[in-house]
Amino acid sequence: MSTTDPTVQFFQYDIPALEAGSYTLTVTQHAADTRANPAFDETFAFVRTIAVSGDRFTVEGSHLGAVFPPTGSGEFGQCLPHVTCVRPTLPWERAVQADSFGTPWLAVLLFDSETYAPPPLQSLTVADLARSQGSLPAATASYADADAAFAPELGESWTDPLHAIDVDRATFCALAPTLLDLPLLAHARKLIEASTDDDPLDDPGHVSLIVGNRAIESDATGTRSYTAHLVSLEGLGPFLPNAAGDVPAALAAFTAVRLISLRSWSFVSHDPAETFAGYFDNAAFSTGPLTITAPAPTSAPPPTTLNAALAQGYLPVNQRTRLGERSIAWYRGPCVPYATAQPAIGDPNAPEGAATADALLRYDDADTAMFDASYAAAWQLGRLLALRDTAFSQALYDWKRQAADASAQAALHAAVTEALGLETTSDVRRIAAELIAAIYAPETLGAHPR
Amino acid sequence: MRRLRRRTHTVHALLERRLRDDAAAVPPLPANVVASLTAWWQLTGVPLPAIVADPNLLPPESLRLFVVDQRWQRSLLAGAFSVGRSASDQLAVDAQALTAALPTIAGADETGLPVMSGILLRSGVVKGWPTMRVVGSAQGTVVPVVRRENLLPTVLLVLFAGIAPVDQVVFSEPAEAVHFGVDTDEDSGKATGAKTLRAITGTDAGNPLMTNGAGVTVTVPYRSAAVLDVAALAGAMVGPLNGAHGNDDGQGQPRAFTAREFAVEMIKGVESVTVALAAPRAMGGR
Repeated sequence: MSTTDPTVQFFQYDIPALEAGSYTLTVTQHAADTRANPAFDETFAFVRTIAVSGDRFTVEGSHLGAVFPPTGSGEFGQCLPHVTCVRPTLPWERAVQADSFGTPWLAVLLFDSETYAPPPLQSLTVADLARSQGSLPAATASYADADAAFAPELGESWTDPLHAIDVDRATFCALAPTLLDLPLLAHARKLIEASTDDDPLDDPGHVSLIVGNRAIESDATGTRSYTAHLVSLEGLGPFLPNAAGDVPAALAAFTAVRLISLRSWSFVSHDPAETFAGYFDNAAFSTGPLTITAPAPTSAPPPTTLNAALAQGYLPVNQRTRLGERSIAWYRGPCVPYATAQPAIGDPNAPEGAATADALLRYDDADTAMFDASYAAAWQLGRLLALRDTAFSQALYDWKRQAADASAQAALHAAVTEALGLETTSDVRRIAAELIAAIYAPETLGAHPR
Repeated sequence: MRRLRRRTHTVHALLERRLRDDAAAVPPLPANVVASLTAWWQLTGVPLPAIVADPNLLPPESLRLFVVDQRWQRSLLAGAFSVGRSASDQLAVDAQALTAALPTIAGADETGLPVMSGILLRSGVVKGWPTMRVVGSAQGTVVPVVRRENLLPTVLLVLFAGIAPVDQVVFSEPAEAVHFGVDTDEDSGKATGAKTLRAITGTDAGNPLMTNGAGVTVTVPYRSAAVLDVAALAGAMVGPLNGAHGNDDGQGQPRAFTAREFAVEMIKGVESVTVALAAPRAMGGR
């Protein structure tokens, strides 16, 4: 648990050194010497093709982190959904269109069950994104229609599986961010001062976030469900609408757009009463010490001693004595409503000196004439915990044996010294020591016969 | 002769030491024994019914404050330490060793054993925000958490150890729940159609921007059903923000408004609730 709040630093983007894709590396060297015999004038070229691979049709699971809102239900009114990219450069590894530096290729589209129905998630292949290769319907636009050069890169193939959604044109134009919106909807962030909390959930470190552009609206009845899709907009610049939602020219001939869905999740946003603070503000929420109040008396008023005991956190519980008698005793757990007087460390009456559970039974003869079994029960519970923990009980048993050996050894020395009589002078001790050394080898001293 | 004398002298010195100090002959407690005792000291493994003996102690939607009874903890450890005791004369050695280990187990410092106090929270909020932050303080000082566990999906136990019992607890949504959004009407939960601006630069960075004691808001432009016109919203923020000097590069000039500035503006505040509790007062044992 941290005592200081961590500081989060935001960044406009986290641009990768190289965008994903194929690169041609050409090195040329021109060498000429007219005075040489024979004179030469030659150009040497060295060409290598390299590919920077990156997530494209699917995203490696470890590259994405948590999504917000989490799958399930909660109160998310007026929040924007977002996806965390654990690989911080991910949103900027591909391009929406040429000359779109700093513009992410990923966007979160938020569908709901009422206004913009979520399209079904289809399991397709890369070929289904290009009409020339697969099953793309004539009226559905996809990546190959926006970018004629669309093709699998090194290490990819037309048969690679992916998930896609077919969004009808009107919905796409209403929901998709504009080219101006996109750069504002992704940012990187870093936790500067890591919290000291040992909870791993609490350390987001350096990540990027892709934020949706549509606010979630809470629904008192809980009937409206939301589905969010993290979609690829790689090369789809010409398809993106303007703020007025006009149909772009590139989409004029189509009725739907097929988009790769890299991650999708669903959630419900409820009633605003169930907010974080709402739980604490609720009239039914109570705070106080860990006690119960006595039930209202049916006949005579309850004895004040009973109320006093209850106020101190004691409860009457059934007790079965060692002799099998049934009785009622007081019990109070380790969590008490008052700071109580504590025995000093090393106090001879402290619980450490108790030989049995019953040694810790206390009798309240002044007020209620009942036993207080709290500490006896704790002792018994401790014994059960120890017996269940075999590593503990074995180690403790071994230790006790060693301790017993050691004290037996010491007692033996004391006994021999005493048996030799007289005062314990250093000469007597020396004689005793020699005597013992003569009888026992040091290794066997005091060891139990096995 | 000289050699023999030296050897007897060695044995003598050894015995001398043992006779002087019996306790020194007792080996130190194994590390795993101390580790288990420490876990039990923090009530790990103690079943919930032993802590909350009656459901009425912790009704639904309640927060209960308590102090941990050291005598109970010490009784628990004494019971655990009794395992493997075969003769009554071992009790004294055991008691001495356990007593000596207590300060380590309880995390004592020079002021003695810390006061362990804690809270039990039984609420739907535990289920909804299992990783919520809990910060307890006593007399204005933050008290370290020694143990925190969701005993049940709806029951949270937090134990603090410090100089005094906690008297104030702050619950807040976890940091990873930092999210974005537009302003919400407190009562209806509907959009207010506005967004309160935050300062981006200066010592107040991240806090609401204030001009003449009042917050600064901008109207949120929408494209269609709840879809934000993001670029227009960002454009609308720049003027008021720069006007109130919420975005200043240090030389009186505003910085460029990019995704990072927009992200800070769009953060929807993490909710936090402070609960002040009457500190348990001291009372003698029964």
